Amino acid sequence: MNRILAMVGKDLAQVYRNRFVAAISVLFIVVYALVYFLLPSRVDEVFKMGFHLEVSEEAAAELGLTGGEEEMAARLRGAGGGEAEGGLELVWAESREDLQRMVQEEEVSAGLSFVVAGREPELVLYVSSETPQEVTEAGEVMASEIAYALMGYELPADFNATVIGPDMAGRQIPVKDRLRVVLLAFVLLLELFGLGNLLMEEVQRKTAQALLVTPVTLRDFIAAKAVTGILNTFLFGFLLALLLGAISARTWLAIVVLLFLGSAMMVGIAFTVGALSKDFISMAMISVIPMVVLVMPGFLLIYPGFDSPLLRAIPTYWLLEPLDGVLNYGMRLSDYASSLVYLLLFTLGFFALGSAILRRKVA
Amino acid sequence: MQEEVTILAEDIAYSYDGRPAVDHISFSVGKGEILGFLGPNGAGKTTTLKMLVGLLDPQEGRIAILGKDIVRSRSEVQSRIGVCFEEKSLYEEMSAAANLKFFASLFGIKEPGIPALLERVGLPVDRKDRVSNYSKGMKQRLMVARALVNRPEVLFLDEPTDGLDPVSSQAIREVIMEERDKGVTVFLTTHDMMEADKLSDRVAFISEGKIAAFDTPENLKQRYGKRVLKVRYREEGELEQEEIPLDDERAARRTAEILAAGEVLDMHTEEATLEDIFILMTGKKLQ
Repeated sequence: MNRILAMVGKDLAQVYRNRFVAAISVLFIVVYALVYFLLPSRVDEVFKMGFHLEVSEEAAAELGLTGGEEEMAARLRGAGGGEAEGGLELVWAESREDLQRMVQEEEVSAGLSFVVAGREPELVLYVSSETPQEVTEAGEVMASEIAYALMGYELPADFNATVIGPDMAGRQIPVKDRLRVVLLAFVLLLELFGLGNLLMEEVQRKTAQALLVTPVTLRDFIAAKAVTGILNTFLFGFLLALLLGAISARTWLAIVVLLFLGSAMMVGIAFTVGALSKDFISMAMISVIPMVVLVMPGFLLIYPGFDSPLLRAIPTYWLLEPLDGVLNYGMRLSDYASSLVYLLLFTLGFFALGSAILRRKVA
Repeated sequence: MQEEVTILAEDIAYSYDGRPAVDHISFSVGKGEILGFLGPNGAGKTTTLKMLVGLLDPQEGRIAILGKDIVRSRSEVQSRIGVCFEEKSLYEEMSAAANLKFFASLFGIKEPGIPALLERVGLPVDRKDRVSNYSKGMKQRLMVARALVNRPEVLFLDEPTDGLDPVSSQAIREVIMEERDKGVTVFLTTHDMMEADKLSDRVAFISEGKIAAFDTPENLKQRYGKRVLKVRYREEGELEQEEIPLDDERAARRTAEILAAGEVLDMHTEEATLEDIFILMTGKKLQ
């Protein structure tokens, strides 16, 4: 144990003696925190609603709308349509298809199709898969108001929102808070550089060999690197989580567990990176490959429409999903039991693979 | 030579991808003895060294260091040996003292006497800067100091003076001799025959993974070398040169003839070097 502790102490000192790695680590934390605090914390306050109106002459006469479609449009404008007022902006669509396209392409937050062809008007609210539940609910309220303004009475029929694409209900979270999870993932990924560089130097400079002719065993060596890597990554992750306001009485335990597992997974990958690298440049190039892949699930948090079954094959998906849930949706860690199992399996897998490659390289 | 065996290699073999690097060799080294392990690059010196210090397990045969099997008692053996590799495997961002202190801590030594160690290898005691600022010779001296940090009973030195300036080489040779005088066994791999001749009690020639000869330098020279007398003289205005084999029965008569007939410019005896013998025995040069 003393030998492992001696190596950990030396490794931590060595990591921060490398001015480049030390500067990059601190810079990342500062920049990430700045980015987070500079981003707006409010969601878009103006509710843009697409509107498609279709009134048959017969129906208009029956309903006492003698002015037909134009009269309805005028009533609607009177109710605030066409320009932002009271947080609502109506955007007219030529057809129902045009309205659906506007919703899908996110020109509007929701779309309301209002077709009056018989005694009972047909009202459909379109929302995109990325529309948060709160927005959908707001859209429903606004649709009712608009219908009342047009018809002069509350519509008897209930209507349901029609979701275009997979339903991603419950995402009314400011972008900066979604980004917070991605920034935490970035800090963990940074360890690929830190520990990767440390291991590359130990292997290439043959200091690992020098250690292994002392009473230090290969197991001690790998254990020391693992402790150094996990400690370093975890501390940086925790520091950033503190700076980003992610640590609270409710979240701290979940954050600690997730950061620990995430750190351990990165250490396993860093073992492979470090063992395969010849110098700093090759280490940086090799690190970029897992980094780009591992950061991909982060895009899902910012762009929910990015969802794909393929993302579930990326180990960080199972880290970011519970982090997002705990930080942004008030979920508990126990709600993500299966994610934790996957994360643990990936962590063990990477750790075993990295250790085997490192063992082969050093022995 | 002492009777107590410190290093024992019995029929050891190691192959890389089926190509034998060390091919069933056996030897032993006694306490307080310096063994020069000589061979050209790729002969199997480093693989043998790696097996002796526990970095590689012999695929065949067995090794005992200080009476302990290296595979079964690796950590125990490694706590009693000192190893200095050819590559400068130092933590270059750390100072010399920090390097020594760190390695001492791996042996559980709290007070390794760093100033005395640095002084012994001729390094400045009070330098606090990084090892990366040191010259090649200084780094090599530090490597030797590191190998001594645990006061080892056996020292393994891989090309310890390769490419060094004469001052650094001499400093390292003096340390090796001092350790030998203290009863430390030294296993020295080198392709520098002069160094091996100066330092070694016995030498082993290794070529293509096999030991071609194993004896004291003197015995090898006597058995395989030829002593000659080299004479340069002037005869009828022309410069002449002749080598007279000293073991030849006509040597005395021929020398007398030259001395009587001509103007001798210089005359000296020349012994076979270990390199000559190595070439004679293996058909290979050392470099």
